Amino acid sequence: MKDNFYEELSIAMYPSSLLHTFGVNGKISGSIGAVGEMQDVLPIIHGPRGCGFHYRHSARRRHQPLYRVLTTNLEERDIIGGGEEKLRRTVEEAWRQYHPKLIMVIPSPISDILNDDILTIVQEMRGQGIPVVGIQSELFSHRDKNYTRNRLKKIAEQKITGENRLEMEIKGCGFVEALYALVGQVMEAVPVIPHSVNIETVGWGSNGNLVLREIEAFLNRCGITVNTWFPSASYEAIRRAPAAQLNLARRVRWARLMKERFGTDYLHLGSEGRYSGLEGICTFYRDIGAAMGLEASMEPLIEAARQKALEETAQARKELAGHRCLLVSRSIQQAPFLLKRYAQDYGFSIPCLCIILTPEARRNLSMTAEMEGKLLERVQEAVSLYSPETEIVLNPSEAEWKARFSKFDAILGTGDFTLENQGVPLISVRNETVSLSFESYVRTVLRLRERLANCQVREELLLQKMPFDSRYYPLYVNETGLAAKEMWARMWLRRKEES
Amino acid sequence: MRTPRGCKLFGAQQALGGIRDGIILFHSVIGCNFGSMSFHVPADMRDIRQTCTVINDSDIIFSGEDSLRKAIHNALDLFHPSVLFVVSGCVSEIIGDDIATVVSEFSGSVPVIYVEAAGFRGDSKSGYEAACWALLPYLQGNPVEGGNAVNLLGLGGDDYRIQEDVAAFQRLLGEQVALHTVLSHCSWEEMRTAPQANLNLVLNEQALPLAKAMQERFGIPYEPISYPYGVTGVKEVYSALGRHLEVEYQTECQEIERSAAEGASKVYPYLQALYGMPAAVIGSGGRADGMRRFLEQELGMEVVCFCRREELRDLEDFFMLARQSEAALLFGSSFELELAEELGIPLIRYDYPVFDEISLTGNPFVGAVGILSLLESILNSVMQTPSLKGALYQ
Repeated sequence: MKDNFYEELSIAMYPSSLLHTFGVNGKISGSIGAVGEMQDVLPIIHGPRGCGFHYRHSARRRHQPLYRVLTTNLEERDIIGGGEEKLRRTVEEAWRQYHPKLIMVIPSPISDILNDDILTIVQEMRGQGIPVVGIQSELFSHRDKNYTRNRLKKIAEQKITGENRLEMEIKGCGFVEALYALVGQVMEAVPVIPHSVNIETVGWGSNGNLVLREIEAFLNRCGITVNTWFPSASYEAIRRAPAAQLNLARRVRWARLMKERFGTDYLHLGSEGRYSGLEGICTFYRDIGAAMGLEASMEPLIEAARQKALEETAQARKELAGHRCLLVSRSIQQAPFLLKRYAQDYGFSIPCLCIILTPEARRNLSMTAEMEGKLLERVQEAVSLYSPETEIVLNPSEAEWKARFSKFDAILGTGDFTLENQGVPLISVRNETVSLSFESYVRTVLRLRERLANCQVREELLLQKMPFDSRYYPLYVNETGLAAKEMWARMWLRRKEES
Repeated sequence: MRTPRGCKLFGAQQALGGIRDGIILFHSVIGCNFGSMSFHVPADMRDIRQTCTVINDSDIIFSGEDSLRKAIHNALDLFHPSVLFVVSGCVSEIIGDDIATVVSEFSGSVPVIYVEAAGFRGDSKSGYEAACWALLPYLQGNPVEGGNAVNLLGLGGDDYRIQEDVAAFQRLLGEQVALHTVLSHCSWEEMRTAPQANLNLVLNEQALPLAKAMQERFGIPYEPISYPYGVTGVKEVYSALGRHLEVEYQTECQEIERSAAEGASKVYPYLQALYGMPAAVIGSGGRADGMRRFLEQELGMEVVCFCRREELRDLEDFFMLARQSEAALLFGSSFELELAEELGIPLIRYDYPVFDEISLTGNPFVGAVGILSLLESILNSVMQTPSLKGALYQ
């Protein structure tokens, strides 16, 4: 497998992150993204023709930016008389012309305002033998903007020694609605295959493809098979998804519906820390074992894999322990687990953990002093547990940065290249790709050792010669860029308080 | 249907987005801003001059006029633009927001201009036209008597290599003629004073209504021309200038012909390879016409499948024609990659939108240098299209 970082490069070389500085995508884009993961599914956007043009380009990912997307072409007269008849006609034509395995009707804000009854129409058409499902809008236009803030509030209440679980539903992103439609309108009750799982194929990050293969291989060794990769599967495989005993879900809504309709249990793969690092990988497999009644048989395999990973990385961790590194985090909620991984799992000596929490982040996240205090307590708790010698520094001043830099061999945990010119090499966080496979842990440790051995101070970095500022990282700092970012915050994140 | 061309809102954005000191405020849902921005950023990721009122559920029920008011205030406060364009989308038009009245409340030194661009009322061409009509009342001045200045109308702010092409066009004009206003690649001041030019060259029929109106109102003649690819394109420009202005470019024309032939001769067997080769072309109006002319007249290729986007009802019609043709190359936008991959032939990107190729080196596709860089792009596309296989007849 040589293409792991190419996969990441192709995602990084796409404007999605940049665009999210100035806005978020609409729900149609999310639904199209889900359809794009499936095989032989034809999407029809129930909206004006323009939607059918530009939504063929998904700004979310490079590997599949183009789709065969049809549109019902809603025009002025449909706005007055309703678009249901046009939807029927478009579905019939699409079926006649393309004969896909499945047609998926995606609503637009326009059809939502018209209140076209998409679900009833597709149900009728299924009765005529056309395989078609319709997505039900959950929110108008876009996802719930309070999700991130609400999630942060709840995380602030958690102790890192606790369960570190948090099941929160995100509504209106379009992606989950598409999965919901598949569960409700495509999946069929079939006999359950004991010791089988479905795995949601979203948000696996760097090296994701490889990690999924490794997870499957380990599960196979434990006697567990993967029934369906959801939604990256064929129509037939999705139809038979209820044959799984357990769903491994990142976004819980579809999994909850499967539980309700088919009794399929689920395990939520959240990012709240439960599955972070080597210990987290073990917990992940233990949770699967517990859900399937396989704890006893899986435990020796998990322990053996953990021991093997530790043996394979023993020498590397010994070498890493000899380096004093500055750890930088721009996420106060993730900082405890970042420290845990770098200090405990990879073995670095971390005398200092810098947390950057900008005034903009504080404001946009509605961070109160109380909440910030609780989140800092979590970081302190992590220090006590994993790296008692670590000093926590919040938002160091330029002088504080300078005073500290000279004491370290490298900067870790960030991709903030604005820190590059301080005479200390920075090892980009891109090199940390630990996920839910033991192999990903081993790869990360060995890679970090290699990077550290070859690290260098980069004094001629092209990016350093451009107007970047750590405060606004990774945004290019110019008047229009900052204005567009602030405008977005005022009109969306802080809409109520600004009125 | 598979839509062959963009939304009305996108057309308005294409017309207005290239006015460098202007800001576009979409009174619409976030998807319109996000989508149109995704076509814009490949050209310049630093240049974000569009934003959105973020119409939400509450606006649908209670009207979005307050949100619009607030957004205009914010946009003026944060961006300090020379002009603010309020471009409506489907939702604000359906709910019946009185955008004109809200906009009229802002009568300060910065013009706030409303452009109706609901997607259910038209396509990108009508959006471009709507933007042109909105600009018209702000144009002022008259052609300078005895002057030699031209405007270029019909370009889109996010057209592929627009900056390079405009610079190359300026070089083509030399010292005899000044390039006054380029819609859309200019300042607000240049836009306002467009009537001071002596001739409008119209590169795309979406700007034809504006050119006609400028002739009526300011007495400026216009000439529709195809996009000036190749020597034939250059000759058409020079010929139009010669007809309307007292200028003559024979020497320049000969030099461009000579340098194009000299440069291309380095790979003359590859030119022979293109000669007689069938190609498929899809593009918007004058751009497609200009490309066809270059391929047929100058490279000797056979354009066996040709469509102007504006004339297509369904993109599938073009796809069917291309499938039935024997085209060995496809010329279009990034969207046509899907077809190129299906047919296993190279795609040469030249038409809006291009979002999977960038241009940093400043090479245009028009003018003396442009002829060679376009040719280079065509030949490299042929050579770099994945074709590794074990055997030719595998």
